[in-house]
Amino acid sequence: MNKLENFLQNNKGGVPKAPTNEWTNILNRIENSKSFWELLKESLTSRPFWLSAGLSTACALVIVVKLSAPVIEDQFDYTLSQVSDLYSEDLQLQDSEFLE
Amino acid sequence: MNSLADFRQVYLEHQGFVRAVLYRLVGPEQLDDAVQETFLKAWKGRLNFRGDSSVKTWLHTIATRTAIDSYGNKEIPVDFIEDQGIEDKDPTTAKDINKAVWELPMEYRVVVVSVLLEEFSLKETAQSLQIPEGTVKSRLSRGRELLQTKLKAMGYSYE
Repeated sequence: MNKLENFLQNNKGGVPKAPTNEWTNILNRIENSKSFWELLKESLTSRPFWLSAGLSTACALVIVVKLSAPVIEDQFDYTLSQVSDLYSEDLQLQDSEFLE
Repeated sequence: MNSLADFRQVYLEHQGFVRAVLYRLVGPEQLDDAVQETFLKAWKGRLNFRGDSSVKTWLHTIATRTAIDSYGNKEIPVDFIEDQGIEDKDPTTAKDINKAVWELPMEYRVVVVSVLLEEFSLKETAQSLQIPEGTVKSRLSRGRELLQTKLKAMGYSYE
């Protein structure tokens, strides 16, 4: 090491201390610099997203089942009454044939 | 280094070194901003770090690139150094050294800081600055001359 290097090493002095919130500031800058795709990717892979998506799907299924239930019942009733009519018509026909 | 927790460890281990390099390159006024910018760039470029060099050399590259690209043309207000709360053995000499370094053109300043103050080898400096080793040698030689002239003009004699 030559004399200039010795002089610099012995006298170069200190450096101002880092502010206590420096890491928080870095995190904020990382957060603010995220692109649209990074934000989309994060939201798609996050647990809250899948939790809310699962709950929404479950609610939607319950609503669909509730709404469609009376329609199914109506269809069932209609079919039964129709069958009953047909059956009674058929019986009457058979009776008349028997009587003859 | 993919998670923020791992990256925080890198920050904790190297922030002192990054801060020291940037202090000598950009001065006190731009220091906090330059440190944050360096770590932001490191976070964004972390997937490109393949471990060919040490983390320290990698951060040194990012810090010097940041200093050159974002602060290379900005003058450093030397009056600002009066109020930094640094406790040095010989505060006047330390201030004069900083002043002399800050007055060097950026292309010489980065080499002088890397080799003479941070004690990186010529090879490491060439790797960090991504320039040939011969260029580092010639810039160091010219930077050393300029620095010596400035220090002598301030009244320092160390020969």
